[in-house]
Amino acid sequence: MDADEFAEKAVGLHERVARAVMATCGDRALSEECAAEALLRSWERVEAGDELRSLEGWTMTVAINVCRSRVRRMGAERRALERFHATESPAATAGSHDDTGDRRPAEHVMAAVLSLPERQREVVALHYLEDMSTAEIAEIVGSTPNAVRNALHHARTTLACVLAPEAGTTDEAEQEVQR
Amino acid sequence: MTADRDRLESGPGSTPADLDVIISSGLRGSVDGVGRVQPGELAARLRELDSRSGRQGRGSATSAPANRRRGRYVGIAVAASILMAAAGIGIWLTNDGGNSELDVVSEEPPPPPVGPFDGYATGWHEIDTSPLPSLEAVTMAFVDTELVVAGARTDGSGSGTDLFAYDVVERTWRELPDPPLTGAQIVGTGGAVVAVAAAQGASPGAAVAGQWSVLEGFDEGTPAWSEPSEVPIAPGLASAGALGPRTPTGFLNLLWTGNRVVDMTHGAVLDPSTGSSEPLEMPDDLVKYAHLLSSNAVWTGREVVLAAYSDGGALRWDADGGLLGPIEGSLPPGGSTGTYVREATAIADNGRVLLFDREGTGSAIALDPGSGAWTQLPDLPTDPAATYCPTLASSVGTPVVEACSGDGSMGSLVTFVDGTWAGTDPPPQTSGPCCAGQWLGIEGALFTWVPDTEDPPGSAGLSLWIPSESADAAVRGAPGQPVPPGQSGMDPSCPVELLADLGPVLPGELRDGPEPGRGGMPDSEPNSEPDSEDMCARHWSAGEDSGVYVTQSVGGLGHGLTDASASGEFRWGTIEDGFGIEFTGEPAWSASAHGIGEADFSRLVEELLVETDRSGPTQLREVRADTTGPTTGSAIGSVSAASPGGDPIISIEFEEHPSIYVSAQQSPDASTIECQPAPTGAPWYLTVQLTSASLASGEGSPYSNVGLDGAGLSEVLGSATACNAGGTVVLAFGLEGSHPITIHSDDAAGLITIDLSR
Repeated sequence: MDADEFAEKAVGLHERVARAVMATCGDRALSEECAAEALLRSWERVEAGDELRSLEGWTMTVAINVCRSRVRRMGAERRALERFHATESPAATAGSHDDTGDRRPAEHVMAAVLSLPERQREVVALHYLEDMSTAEIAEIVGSTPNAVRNALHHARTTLACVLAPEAGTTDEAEQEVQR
Repeated sequence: MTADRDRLESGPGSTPADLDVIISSGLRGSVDGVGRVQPGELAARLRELDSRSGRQGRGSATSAPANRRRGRYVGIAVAASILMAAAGIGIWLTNDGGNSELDVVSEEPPPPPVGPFDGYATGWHEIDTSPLPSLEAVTMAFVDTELVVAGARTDGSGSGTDLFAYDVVERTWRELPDPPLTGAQIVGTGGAVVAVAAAQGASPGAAVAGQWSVLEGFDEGTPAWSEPSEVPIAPGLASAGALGPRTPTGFLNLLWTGNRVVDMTHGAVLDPSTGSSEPLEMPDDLVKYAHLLSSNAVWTGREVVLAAYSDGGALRWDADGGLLGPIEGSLPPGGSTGTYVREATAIADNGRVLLFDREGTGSAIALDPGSGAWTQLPDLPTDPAATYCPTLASSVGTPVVEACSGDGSMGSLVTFVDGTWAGTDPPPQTSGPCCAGQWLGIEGALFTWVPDTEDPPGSAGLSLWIPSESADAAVRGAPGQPVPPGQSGMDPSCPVELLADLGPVLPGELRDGPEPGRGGMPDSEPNSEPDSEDMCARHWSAGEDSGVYVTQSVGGLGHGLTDASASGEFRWGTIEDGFGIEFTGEPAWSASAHGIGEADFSRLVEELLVETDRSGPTQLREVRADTTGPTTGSAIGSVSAASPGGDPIISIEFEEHPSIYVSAQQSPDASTIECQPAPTGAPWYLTVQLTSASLASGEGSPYSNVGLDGAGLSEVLGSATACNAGGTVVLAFGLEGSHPITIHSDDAAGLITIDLSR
């Protein structure tokens, strides 16, 4: 790949990567920053003459890794702040995790996805937004196709429970949600 | 991209198709517009990101300013290319381009590389260490133009870690402030020094956590250490009760990636620029990669790679410590598909990972992390008697490896040019003891440190080796010049003074295999034939070196041993009711393996040990390394083994930690286990009773301790169950065929691996 090819792909790739990352972290600014950071690193590889098997896959991998790193760092900072403000009234932070309010369906889906464990979020994002195969996802998240299938299965099982009302079903999954 | 969706066969709630639609449309709606930017906006964003990113602080050891310029160039160039592509301009803006809007013109071309070694002729240069106190446990880093040496004073004075810097241009020493850490090891980060002190134990409740600190203002005349921070331990390691790999010389495996310090031993990522740290991401199935403890991780310039002589796969991380995933390789040349993996010394060289077998074969192989392909390299010219060698290897633009001699002394080195290994001149100091030296290789230079072994303390040996065109040419002109054993002070026989205090050792004839039915040597017969093969082992038993070195000597299972005072002796022959081998050591631990007859014992040893293709006698050294298993920390006790005709096959009792009792029985006997019947069909049945308060904390939660034991029992054995038997947690699982079993005690910081091949 030469520089022109990279440049032509950059804008579209940025959007795709940012969208997928957004579904794993829920933060638009962070996802766009991760996508940009990944693009820069991809360019460094391209410029160095590396033959990337898949520019898209490599950039997506880097973006997700960067996102993981940032989110974990933010989590550590948040926990530190929580410890610092441990004497504050719990009411001060109440409601910040309220997932039951009125939401548009899309927001409801996003909230449900963001409630999944990290690996499942990544798998869901790549599967539903990027339409990737399990093998492709496995390569990006550093796992195996079987593990991806497992993660996807668990994620969908969870999402089926949470999103059951959206599908208009009244089975035990819905009852589970109501409980 | 092809769609290959994996639909749920069935699931609660809506139908799979409905659910897919809901998720897909919901997600797409939520992220609509995210990342959608105009080319100019993206270009500006990239430029901004690049200008404020850590790149500006990421320099190599010798050219930080150049890298700062380089960092900006990257962002500007890609931004410009995007703009031009959007405008349909099919040219590429180079660093000399003329887009004033992007401020490219103001960017100066990178200056020629700084050459701190310009004043040095090729070959060896001895550096005067007389201004330094006598130091031990030395680690080195190269920052700007200075070699930084960190170590502990052998006389016990000082703060525990002293730092000195030698300016290779000025050729002068200066003392740096002591880090606020005891027993710290250092790594250079381009413009600073990071010191890390090892944790004692890997469990969440470890008595002493690892700590790290950064020497700031290093080159401004007012260097000062930051407040020490705790080094996190990767949860995967903590749950397995083990630390990660160490360097071949037993130190923490610290790698500067240009962005972060990746501490592979603790499984941590340290950011010197912010002082923040986080656990290193580990694969979920970490136990699957236990074979990687037999090697050390390296930074290839693009990624951190941890590989071993095994088809079990390698792992890699990016410069920020993000897990890039496994490298599912094929079986490397000379590698193993079993649980026993050759110990190896790894270095990075031109993007590849080179592994050097440390078990006397001279085997050398290379892994291309990009393709996962292995390449067989020519064997190193190695004395077969040289075990646990090479421990010293580096890359100075070309790989450089210590020449392995039978006596284990630090001799000359070999380098690889044009497809062959060849010797070089020996360093000025060659008389260091086995495995105790240190190397630091950077582009175009190699520093070697030989510790002071004099009494009273004298001066350590510090040398600088400069490769050159002529030297390389000489190598090329004389390919295949091996370094013969015994050359350059590498006398293959053991120095008498090193053997004097070792006490009884394995007789040489045992290396050739005991004859069935033949009696063993008397228990305490001194060794009459110096046995260079077991040199390192003897160092271990004699306790003549630091615990770190001990860790290195005893093999891959010994990671984490830090007890410098361990010493003891071997005996073999009639032990209790049978024939066997016993190692007793101080403080307060012993290990023995015995059977009902020599032939059975020999066979049994072969069965018990993880390696079966290296027959009997040469394994005996590893009886205590492997079957005694807990060669780590304080989780040591005794091992006994009996013929399969007897009741127990293996019994391990942790005398210092009477919390674990392991026994293997035939299935019928195992059925007496109260909580769990024996899994049917399993030819052998292993029970593990965990009785310590910490391990029994899962009372009432019968499966919790399975996870505590490293997430490996259930995965490896498949049928692990646990229950509470009157305060005793019992794990029971069936064994079918050959299974690696990984067990740890909560505060052991180590792994025990036993192969119950039947």
